[in-house]
Amino acid sequence: MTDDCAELELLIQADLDGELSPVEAVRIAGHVAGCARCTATQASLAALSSRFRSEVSRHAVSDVLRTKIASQVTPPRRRLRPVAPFAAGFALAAGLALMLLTPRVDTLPDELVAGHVRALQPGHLMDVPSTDQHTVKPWFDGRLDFAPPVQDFAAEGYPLAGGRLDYLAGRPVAALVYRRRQHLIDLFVWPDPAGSSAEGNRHGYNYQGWHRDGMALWAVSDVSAPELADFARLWSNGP
Amino acid sequence: MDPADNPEATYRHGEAAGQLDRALAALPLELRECLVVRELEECSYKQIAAITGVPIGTVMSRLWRARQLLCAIGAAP
Repeated sequence: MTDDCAELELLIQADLDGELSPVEAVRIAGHVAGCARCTATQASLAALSSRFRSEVSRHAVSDVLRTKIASQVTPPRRRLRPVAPFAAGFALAAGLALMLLTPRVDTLPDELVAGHVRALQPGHLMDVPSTDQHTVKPWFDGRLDFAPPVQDFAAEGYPLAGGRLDYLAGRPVAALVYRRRQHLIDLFVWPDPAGSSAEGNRHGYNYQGWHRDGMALWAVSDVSAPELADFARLWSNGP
Repeated sequence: MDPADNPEATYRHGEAAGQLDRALAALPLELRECLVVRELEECSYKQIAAITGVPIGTVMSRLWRARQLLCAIGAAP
């Protein structure tokens, strides 16, 4: 525990509530990863939230409060035909969930590129600088709730340079760093059973996403799109 | 598994849910409102501030106090 812990409690809570910017979230994740007290605080808050949503009756939302909520959320609710209060609450929750989830799909490329650019700032690129996949992979043990796959493609012209923790899509993720001549490729990895794939360009940076063994993998770099596709192909073929 | 296949588990779940409901009901109204709107309606801090008529900082502190009280009275793991 440090003197900062008490000041960070509200930010840990805000992080779980999805209220922090990616930069703030990374700072909090970095502190929590090295602080047993804050790790316990985070776990306790998350457990309570989980129980709350599964166990507390929706009748806990009073009619008065429901009216106030209705005045603050999106106008489309008013176009709904009259339904029973319980169904209306369910529809509201579903609508809010859709509203909150939809932008995440659209903004993921922006988050990926922002994460890549942020990492290019001095001192932010790697937590574990190593060309050895057997050093990088164990480094993530205990720092994430999953074991990211780590591969080196030095023979193919994409040597592994290291790894770091990052924060994307509302969760901590593994970021693997590769070199391609004078360029850097960030490969973000996190569990995502549903998976999706996409490619494109944001602000001059190419990105490509694919899915493998229950993991979402997204590569971001200023290398050309064909080179990034080549990198993705190497990863997809894998050992 | 269908809960109906395991009445004991269903009973334990119901008992735990009742415990959390009671703990929630014991919270001061202003804390309970913030927490319910956040957890069940998934409103943002900004929306909660508008709904309850208090600044966002107050929303954050009320949420924190509500969650700490629920943890303190044993409603949370």
